[in-house]
Amino acid sequence: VGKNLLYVTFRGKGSGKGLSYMIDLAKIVGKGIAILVIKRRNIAGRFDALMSAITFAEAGEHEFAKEMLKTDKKDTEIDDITKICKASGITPLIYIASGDITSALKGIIKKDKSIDMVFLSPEITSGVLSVRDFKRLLKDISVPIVTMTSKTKINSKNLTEVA
Amino acid sequence: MALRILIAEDEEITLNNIVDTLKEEGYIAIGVKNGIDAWKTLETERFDIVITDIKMPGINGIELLEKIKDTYPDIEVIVITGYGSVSSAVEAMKKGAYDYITKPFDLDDLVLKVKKIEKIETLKRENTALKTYFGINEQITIIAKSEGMKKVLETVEHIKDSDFNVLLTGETGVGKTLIAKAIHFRSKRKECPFLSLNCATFTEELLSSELFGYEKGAFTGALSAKPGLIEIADTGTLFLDEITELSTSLQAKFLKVLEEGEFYRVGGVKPKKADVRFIAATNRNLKSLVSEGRFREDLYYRLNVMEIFIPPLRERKEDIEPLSLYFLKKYLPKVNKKINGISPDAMEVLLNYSYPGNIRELENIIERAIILEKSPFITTESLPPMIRELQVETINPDRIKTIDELIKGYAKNVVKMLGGNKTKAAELLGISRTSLWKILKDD
Repeated sequence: VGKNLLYVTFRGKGSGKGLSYMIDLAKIVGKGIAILVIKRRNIAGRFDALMSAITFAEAGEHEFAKEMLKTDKKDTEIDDITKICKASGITPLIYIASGDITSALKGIIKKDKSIDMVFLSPEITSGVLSVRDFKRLLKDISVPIVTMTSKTKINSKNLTEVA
Repeated sequence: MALRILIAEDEEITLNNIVDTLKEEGYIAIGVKNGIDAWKTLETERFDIVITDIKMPGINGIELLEKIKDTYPDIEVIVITGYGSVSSAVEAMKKGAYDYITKPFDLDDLVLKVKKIEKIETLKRENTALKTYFGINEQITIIAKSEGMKKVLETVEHIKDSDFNVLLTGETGVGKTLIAKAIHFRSKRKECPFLSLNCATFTEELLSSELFGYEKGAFTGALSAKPGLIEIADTGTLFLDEITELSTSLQAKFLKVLEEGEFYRVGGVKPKKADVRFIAATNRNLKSLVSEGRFREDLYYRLNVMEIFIPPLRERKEDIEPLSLYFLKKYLPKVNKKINGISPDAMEVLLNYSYPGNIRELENIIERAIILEKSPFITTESLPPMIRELQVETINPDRIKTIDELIKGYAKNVVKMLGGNKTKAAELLGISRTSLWKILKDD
């Protein structure tokens, strides 16, 4: 029972950017936190791993090849995010999805009626979302969407454009 | 808590008799021999009742009564008059005495009169406690410099004396509860209870018993009957926040209350009636929930007799500065600091931020800044680092306007600005009268 703010981020380095801002906000408005971690599909990386595993297997290093094919590496980022929330006295609800942000988000909002607002982390907003994605988000999601962008990024982008 | 009674009587035996009798009855009784001493005692100690003889040296009973009613109007006064002096008793009653007693009197009669006052005092205290609990006497301040909020307040003024239900819509933290209170405390129901319930914070079963109450034995643990909020709010207002969280079965029960003013307690067989004004609130698009089948259409129309939309803070930037200064004034007395205002740089940061948490967030930002600030002005350094480091934008998909809507809104404002003169407006907009007519044709 109760409402949640949903923090959407990618799995990987920097996945917790803007999270502390959202935790503060959740406390101010008296809501809980849900987190959606999106695993990016890394086809090129996966192909590289596969090719390396074959090479090792051909060289008789079967154990090493098996290790290279393992996809379920420990989600340390998710652990870190959970720790940050718990340190602030909030136990987050974690969702993990892979691939397309819009579909994942749409699915979760349809399923979880407690989501009151969606917060897109700087990782998500920094160029990954296309205009088409954004249009789809606005069309399919009825709760307010908050975009977070790092101000230093905006400033450096402007400088590059001027140069 | 025992009542405190002051007795002013110049005859020592009578005075001692009264004091002893009242002490035996469990009251705190203090006796003085004249009006001057009575007044001095009143200036230093708190009393609930004063029993005074009329004929006393120095200040007489009537003068003492007048002084008491002027300075301590809540103290009840019983005057003791001499046998046959009805005229002075009448004068005392006219001047605000609660009752009088004629000499020679029976002490039991005096005790009865005191007990009567005690009952009234208890009721008064309970009433004050209840008023505090129900939020009656609460001071409501609404800052409205923007057009959007001015419109909201105009609507509140229009509807305050009608009895129809109101639906408040707007994002989290925009002040829906405050507006609900404003409607109640400006209405003819203002002396009656204002109760509020957040439907999202209860499970279905708990919400049902909170709203409708329950009978003894209705479920395990229901050791005695309990009235629900609808019953307690009778003649007053019940504010239901996050109304969309009502389950379908509760929606049906609630609809019956709205349609017939009738409901059953959980486990009850006798229908109960209550005269309640309902104010519901939601931050969701109720219309789309109706079309998705998640909210009853008939309930939506029953609730939506009057909808008031409270705009988010990012859409009423004019309110940010006065609100910030209001919160500064509100929280400053709580800390031992002298802060004269907000620096222009800090105000710029505040004005450029999009406030996903709306007014509640702004209030928190100012409260926090007051604690952290070391200079005589709120500076950017005492604002949360995140709002300085992050560019935060809030988009409400329900509130996105098309270009046509924006053009129409702009054109309407220009026409309004020129006192309705469409020819002048078309000229100012650089379009023909026909084009302007086309833009505004649906109005």
